[in-house]
Amino acid sequence: MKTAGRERSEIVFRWSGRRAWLIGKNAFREAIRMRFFAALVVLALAAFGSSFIFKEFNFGASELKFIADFGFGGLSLFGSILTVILSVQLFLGEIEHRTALTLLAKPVRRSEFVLGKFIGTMLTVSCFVAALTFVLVLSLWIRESQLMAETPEFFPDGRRIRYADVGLFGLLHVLRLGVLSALVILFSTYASSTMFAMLMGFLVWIGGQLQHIASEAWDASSGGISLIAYAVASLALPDFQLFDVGDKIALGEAVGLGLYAKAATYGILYTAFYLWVSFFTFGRREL
Amino acid sequence: MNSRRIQILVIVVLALVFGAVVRPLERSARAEIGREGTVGEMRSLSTARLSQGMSLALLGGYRPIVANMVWISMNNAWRKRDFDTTLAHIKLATSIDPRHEMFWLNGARIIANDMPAWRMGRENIDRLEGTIEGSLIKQEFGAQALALLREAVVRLPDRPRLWVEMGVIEWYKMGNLEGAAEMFLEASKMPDAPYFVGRIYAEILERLGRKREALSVLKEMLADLPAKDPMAMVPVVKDRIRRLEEELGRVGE
Repeated sequence: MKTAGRERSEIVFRWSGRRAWLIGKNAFREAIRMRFFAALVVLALAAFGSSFIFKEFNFGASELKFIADFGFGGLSLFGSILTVILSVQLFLGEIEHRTALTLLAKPVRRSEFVLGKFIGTMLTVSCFVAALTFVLVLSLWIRESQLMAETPEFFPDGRRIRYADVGLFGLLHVLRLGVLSALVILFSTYASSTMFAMLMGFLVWIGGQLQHIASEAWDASSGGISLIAYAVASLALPDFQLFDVGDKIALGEAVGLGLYAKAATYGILYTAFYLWVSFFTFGRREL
Repeated sequence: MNSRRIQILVIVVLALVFGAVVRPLERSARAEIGREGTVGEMRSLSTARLSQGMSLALLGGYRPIVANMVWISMNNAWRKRDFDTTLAHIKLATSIDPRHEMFWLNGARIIANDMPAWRMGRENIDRLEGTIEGSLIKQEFGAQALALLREAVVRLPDRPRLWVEMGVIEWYKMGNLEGAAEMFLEASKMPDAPYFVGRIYAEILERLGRKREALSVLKEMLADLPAKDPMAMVPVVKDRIRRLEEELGRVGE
């Protein structure tokens, strides 16, 4: 009897990607209904729309770089804010409201719950990034067409913007936000309040953006305690600026596929690592 | 030490080990993206004119946006004809984002063309045109613009338009045709130099009395000009070659 019971529980609790996907889909539906998400979309689109004021300055063909820079920056800024808040709300929110207990009482592994919340966050973030990337491409296309008609001498070789690269930038950004989300979820597996988890999330975001400073300081350091401090600071966090090829695209420079491949591999490795550790830490958390 | 703290310690150690494992990939990608040495570059920036938020944005990877905002601020100072602020913002924008050719070019044009007019005043421009006082004012600002562009060609060595702009300033502001010829020669050596560079270089050589050189330059460039592209102005180049050959032929007689 005992043996049969143990065998039955093994069959019920075999790890299932489908359960994680269902949790993710549900989390996605919950996320896109949040007022915060709608507000952020409107804010981001308004910020994009305001980039057309550059017309008033008569920068000529360089106006495209201004539009692209503000577009890429907006994607990065609003995307990161959305990722941190969503990751915490969708994961820790459910634990705080005790609805996670109901779900985990069912035959659902804790790792499936973590992965499902990650999937839900990333589905939402991906939709956000896709929408903003589309608006950016449209803005650049329209303005470039107008400038080509007004000042054809500045476009001797045709269009300057590589639109395929703009699309790839969006994809790379989703990977970057995936790393951020996985890291925030890792903090959330320990945090006892959403406020603390969000604060840690934003600090980690800023830390990741500034990681390159510690890395360069480590290379330049001669030794001692400062060397150890720089080494720890640069190894502990990922470098989020590795995903930022936006200024190359805005300058009309080609971005090699090798660079995309390296950044994508870096992002996938870090995401997988943080999620794996989250499975472990959440598995031992008392709810 | 309780188990939770041990867990956190283990995670930190794991993160450090993982960071060390991916570090070669990180360094390789950073080199390719052109981010090495950015901290060293930023040490030389005067961030005194930047707010704390902008300084953080600068270091946090939003450098192009900070440079753009400085440039827009410069634009406001330019409208008010504020010498010091305009000049300071031009230098700051080019320091923050030296890869943007437009900052260098338009900055030099503002210094060389607009600032002399501000100094003279609208009512005195016609009066001072052609006078020693007017020339000295143009040369003062022309020298500043040339200094800015000399810095630009070090940062962006493969941009013919920077050399062209230096040539124009040497010619029209400094009155230095020899200097202008050198600049246009440098520009003409670059593979993506506009078609007009060679024509203007030949024009300058003619004005300097170096007509045989001018003829040689025109013949050399004609061989590479696309006949069907109206921007190449092939008939104009052919006409100038014919005219120079006639002149030099008469001199030979």
